[in-house]
Amino acid sequence: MTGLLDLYSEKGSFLHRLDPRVKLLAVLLLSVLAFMLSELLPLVLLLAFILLLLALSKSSFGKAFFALKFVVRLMVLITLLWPLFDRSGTPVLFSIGPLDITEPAIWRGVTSAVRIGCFATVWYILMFTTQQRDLVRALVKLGLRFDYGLALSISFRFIPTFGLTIESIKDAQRARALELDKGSFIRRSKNYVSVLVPAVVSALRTADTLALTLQSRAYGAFRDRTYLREIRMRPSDYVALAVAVLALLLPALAKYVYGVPL
Amino acid sequence: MAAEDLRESGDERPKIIASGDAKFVSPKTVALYGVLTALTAAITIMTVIPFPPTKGYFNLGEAMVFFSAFTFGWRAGLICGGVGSAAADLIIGFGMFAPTTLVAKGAEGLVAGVLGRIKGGKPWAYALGIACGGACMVTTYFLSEWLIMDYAFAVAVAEIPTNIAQVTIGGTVGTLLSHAVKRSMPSLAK
Repeated sequence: MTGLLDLYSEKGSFLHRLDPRVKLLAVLLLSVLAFMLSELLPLVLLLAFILLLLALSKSSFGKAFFALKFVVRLMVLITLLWPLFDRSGTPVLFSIGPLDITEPAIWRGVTSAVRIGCFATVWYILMFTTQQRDLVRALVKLGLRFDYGLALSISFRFIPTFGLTIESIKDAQRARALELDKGSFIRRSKNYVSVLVPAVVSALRTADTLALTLQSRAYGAFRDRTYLREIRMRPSDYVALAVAVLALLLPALAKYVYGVPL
Repeated sequence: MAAEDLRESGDERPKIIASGDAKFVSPKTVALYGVLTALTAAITIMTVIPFPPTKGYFNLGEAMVFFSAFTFGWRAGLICGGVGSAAADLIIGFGMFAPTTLVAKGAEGLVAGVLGRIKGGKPWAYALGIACGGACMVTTYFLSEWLIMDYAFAVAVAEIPTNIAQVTIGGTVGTLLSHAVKRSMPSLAK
């Protein structure tokens, strides 16, 4: 499981080279676009566009499969459940007991599922092509205070470490006959306390050492911070930014000003 | 060494250190928040327990949100709960939930941290914190799934029992954890 803790894979696609700020903004803009569209065809086009971008990001097949499995399962669930609970619309196709399955409800379900597909997959563009440290850098450049940015970097750095710690504490407690996979869920949750307490205590000790380390490296000693790696917008980044903004603006204009049903 | 150091980070207010006219959060707080955030994310990912009534799964990440809030105050609850849980969502590939999670768990940590520490953390204060914090979390998820993600209304409603179970168990485990950790690290108890 810990092998999958980072969806990022090191490849050389244009999406990898794009400024992380632009990617973050593009993901948010495309999410808003998916929220705005209410017809099936534009949503399918959007999903196709997102999947095309994902394909272009050259991410490894295993990770893409792992990620898309969740999305497909969710989409199928939504498609199946919408018609069951929405009985509006006239052409009733068939009835199962008290349930009427209507045609508009089925289309509504498919539309909703495609929209959720867009919401879910658009984030993979960011996560597949951006290193976590670049994400933090982008947030700091966008105005997050650097001390909180540092806390965020520290946390991304320690997630896999603590994952391994928890895994070995689990094994150690299992060797002392603690059962984590048997019994009711309440019993299991209670048993997890004896895993979590050592994990928390060891993490707090880590925090202590870390604080000393930060202090000994003169954290916060100077006002004007310099950065080892700067991120700068290149012409191609501006082009990508413009494309992302237009991708939201043009349909919004068409829908709300000219009344095109989208 | 450890005892003195952690007592300071156990303060409710992050210590601000000043150098010249620049102000930073103290290294102890930065390290503590970073570590608690990472631990919240790691526990959310690693402790998945099947929940038979709805055939769903829930995780004990909630316990860490309540633990941070009860032990270190509302700021820790807000930051570590919100950011840690959202980071877990991003990492396991539920990025679409990350913004909702940030708000839902952040609010939960904030409310639990404020209410749970009334009069230095009486049992009724813990219960109040868990109930009100949990209500914030459940409501935020419900509204987001219903109105923004456009799940069917009934599907969004069906998620509520799982979420309530998660809050109840997470809250209980979080309180137990807070007690047990304070016992093994007396410097944290005040």
